[in-house]
Amino acid sequence: MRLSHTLTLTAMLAASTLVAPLALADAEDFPAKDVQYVIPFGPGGESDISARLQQKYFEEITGQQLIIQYMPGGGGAVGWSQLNDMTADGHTIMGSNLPHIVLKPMGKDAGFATEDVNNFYFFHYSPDAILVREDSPYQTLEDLVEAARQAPGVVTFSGSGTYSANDVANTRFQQLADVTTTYIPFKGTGAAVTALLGGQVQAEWGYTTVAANHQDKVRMLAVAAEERHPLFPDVPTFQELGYDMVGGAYRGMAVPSETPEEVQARLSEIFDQINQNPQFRQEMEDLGFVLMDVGNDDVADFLAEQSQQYETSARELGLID
Amino acid sequence: MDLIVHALGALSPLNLALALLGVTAGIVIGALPGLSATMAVAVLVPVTFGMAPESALIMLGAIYTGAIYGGSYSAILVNTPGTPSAIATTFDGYPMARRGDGDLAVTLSTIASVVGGLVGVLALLLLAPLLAQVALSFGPVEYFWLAIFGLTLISALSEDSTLKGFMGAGFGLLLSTVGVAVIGGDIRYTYGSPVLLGGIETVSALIGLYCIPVLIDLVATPAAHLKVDGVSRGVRFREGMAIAIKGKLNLLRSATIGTGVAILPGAGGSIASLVSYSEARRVADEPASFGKGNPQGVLATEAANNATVGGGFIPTLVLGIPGTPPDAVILGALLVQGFRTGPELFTTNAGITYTFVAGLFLATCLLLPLGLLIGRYAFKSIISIPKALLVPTIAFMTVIGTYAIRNSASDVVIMLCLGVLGWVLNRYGFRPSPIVLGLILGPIAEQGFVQGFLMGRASGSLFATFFGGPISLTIIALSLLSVFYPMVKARREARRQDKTINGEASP
Amino acid sequence: MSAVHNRSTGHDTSTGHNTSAAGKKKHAIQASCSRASEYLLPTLFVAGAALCLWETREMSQLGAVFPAVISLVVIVAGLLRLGQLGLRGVVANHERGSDSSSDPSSDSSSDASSDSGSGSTPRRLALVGIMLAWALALPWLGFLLTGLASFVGLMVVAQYRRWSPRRLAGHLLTGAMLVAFFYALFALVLNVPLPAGRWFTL
Repeated sequence: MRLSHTLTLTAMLAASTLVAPLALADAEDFPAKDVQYVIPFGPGGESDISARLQQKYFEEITGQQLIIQYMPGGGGAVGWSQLNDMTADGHTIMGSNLPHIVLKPMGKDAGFATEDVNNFYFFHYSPDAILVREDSPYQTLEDLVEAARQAPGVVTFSGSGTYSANDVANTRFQQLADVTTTYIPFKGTGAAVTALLGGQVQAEWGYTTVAANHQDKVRMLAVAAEERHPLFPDVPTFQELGYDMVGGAYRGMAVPSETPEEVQARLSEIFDQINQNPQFRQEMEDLGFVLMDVGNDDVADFLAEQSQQYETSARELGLID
Repeated sequence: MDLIVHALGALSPLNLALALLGVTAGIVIGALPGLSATMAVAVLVPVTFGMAPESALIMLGAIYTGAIYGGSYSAILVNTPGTPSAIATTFDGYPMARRGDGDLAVTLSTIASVVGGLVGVLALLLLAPLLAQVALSFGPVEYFWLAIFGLTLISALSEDSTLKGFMGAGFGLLLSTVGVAVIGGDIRYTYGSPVLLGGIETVSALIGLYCIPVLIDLVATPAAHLKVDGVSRGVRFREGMAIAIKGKLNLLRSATIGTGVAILPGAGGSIASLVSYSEARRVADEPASFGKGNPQGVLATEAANNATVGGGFIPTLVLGIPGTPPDAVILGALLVQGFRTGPELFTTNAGITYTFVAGLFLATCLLLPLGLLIGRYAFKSIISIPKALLVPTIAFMTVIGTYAIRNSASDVVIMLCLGVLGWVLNRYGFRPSPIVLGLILGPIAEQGFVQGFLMGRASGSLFATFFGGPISLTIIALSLLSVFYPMVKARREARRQDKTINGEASP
Repeated sequence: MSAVHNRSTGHDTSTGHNTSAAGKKKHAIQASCSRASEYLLPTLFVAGAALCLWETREMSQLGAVFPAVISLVVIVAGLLRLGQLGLRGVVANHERGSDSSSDPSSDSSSDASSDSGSGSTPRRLALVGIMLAWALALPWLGFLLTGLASFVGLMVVAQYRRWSPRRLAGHLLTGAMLVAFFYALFALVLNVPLPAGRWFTL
């Protein structure tokens, strides 16, 4: 009895996996089944957490589950280089991060080109920020700049990765403030903030999200957003202090490039609906994220604009010439 | 007082059932090579969104505890660490199983896991805020020295020739540099292949290096996989308890080391069990019997890796910095649920914390009956299943397990190549363990060294950076001790032997 | 760092050997296998490490330092080993001869019968061949098909007794059930997107 049951189940499984991809993806009743959401990083990071927040609302809107998968490696390169080999029916989407998808391909052998990542929505960003420890002598950004000017290279910043959002921010800031600092790359934001809390570095290039997470232990000196973050009304933006810096780590979603236009439009619509949900907005802001609604139609312009900025920074970093 | 109230809260029938389910599922997932504790926890997270926060936390803690423990089954029975934390369990567990003591090894691992788990949970409950500060005093330089300390195990792990051990470890260390470098951003040794960009996945390398050679030799002869005496001896619990009581100091020391290492966010369960293994070996009367089926080796590693469960939550809950990869997933789940980590978790939000701790405590206690039960079943199936089914089943698990880590078929090919290479190297006296040691410690050593170098250059004194801190000096001293102590001991023993021989000969 | 490494390398050379060789012959080194292989492998390690060292030229300073140091350590260890072999001489291991089985990491269990005698090399090669074909065909033929096929293949490779129809049927059935169980566990419970096979979806 049990055996025949198992066999039938196997047969059904086999049949369903063979047939399912053949069914034409129709935008009208999309999604017809659960959607796989591949995060090209490991679990527990900001890409993961923000995706987990979307998960709940996706199910509310579509009745289908958003299943989060991880494909870590090479700072996202492993995932993005495989994106276009995945099933292009909209039921597989992948997290996409700026500046990673622009900066990575500038190096050699990245395994993918920026154009290979077919984004359909950018939903938020974590603004860059300079953080110091609660008991740090640097009360304001000016204190820190002054210290760096006095002794070039002595002020150390921890940050996540090389040729990353933090690295770009540091390069840009050094140029705007005309100072020299030492940037020490760590594996991930978690390790970078640990080094700050442990006093191994004097400051950290982090994000508003890091400050939100460690409110009692760190002080944020400036935020690279257009306006002050609602969680930190007392922390000035870089622009207020005279440095023209707005940026951070932008996060969105992409699909394989073969995915039908209508399905992409529908996906963009669903995620826009999630972004408009007041509860979702509140949860995201509490964690320090800044929401943005760059839908399917505006993604190209947004990317072009950002890429230009990153190219300038990449030139300064010596990544391209 | 609060604690008792919350502990009772944790004991509601529903929560008990969830803990039971979680531990069982965890053991099964942990026992399958490739399915790590991180994955078990990550899969469960969306399920817990629909639950009451207390129940969700209890279930997450239970599955985590079960998975770390379950890793010892495949380590003992098929020489394949089910989770990276169980690497060192293969050193003595598999030789025990080969000679017919697999059931005893599983029982020992169960007892050690319970003891280790309880020590970790107690540390979390009583000392969390204090110990979290220790985590912060470990900077890049300290991690670098910790990795060097771990590498001193090479000489112990290469019975044949220390030089071969160094070559093997060097190979492992070079393997760990494949892919995109965290510092410097270089793309190293990928030879243009996008597959290698993400580096060699540690768990798939473990599966390849440890399990494939077993399979290759398993098909070569008709002999049974494990030696069986023919008599069923139950779980041999009494025998196991006797060994555990004899090794109580070893158990406590290993559990303490496990807790201590787990507090360090950059280290993790594999290093905790390796360090406690090397300490147990160093202290033992007959270090040479380690690696050849010494029950104390199993006790040491299993006590240490289950202690990392409680220990790892210390920085996670107090500082918001995950101690181990599964902690990162649980921390993410907590954030999504709207909790904030920090001191409030022990004051205003104490209810949640204490429920969680009580849940971990409960899960650890459940390990004993469940572990003995499932362990006995696992052992029996491994010895009774005919070879013609055992081989394809293990092969199937290695392939599907490797694939599942990163959803990558290329990882399966890499796993196989490393496995064949490991078999060949082992034949010529290069053991797999130094290679794995290098692979695991490589990133820690490299990042610690280069970060320390950058820090030292900024501060103007490289020497003070690397040799200045008290923690660094302590670890350096321990490393030197670990290298030289066995030699001093061996020489002293040789002299004593000479004396006795002379003494007998002279009259 | 390199100094520390080299020093400990140098030290272990002299002492590690005293301990491991204690009790055995003090002079000639016992080879793990044939005499030639004892010289060949360190040479290969040195060559490989030299290649890795050569490639660090193209890396940035920060990225090159670690692989360069490790390559040097391997080269030094390899050369020391070769020197040691040359000075003390090598005795071939006849028990393990040129075509015998070696047992991973457990010399202790030499009483287990699988260690003695020479194992079947064709079967070993067949196992590796089947598993390699499995891994390569995985993305194209899908998980279920390759899984079932290689399960049957490996079953044949590992079978030493003769097949009776009943045993064959029983094994095949159990095999199918196991594949189905793991497939269900991974694909349905754990949500791992197992490959369905590109040939079927095109």
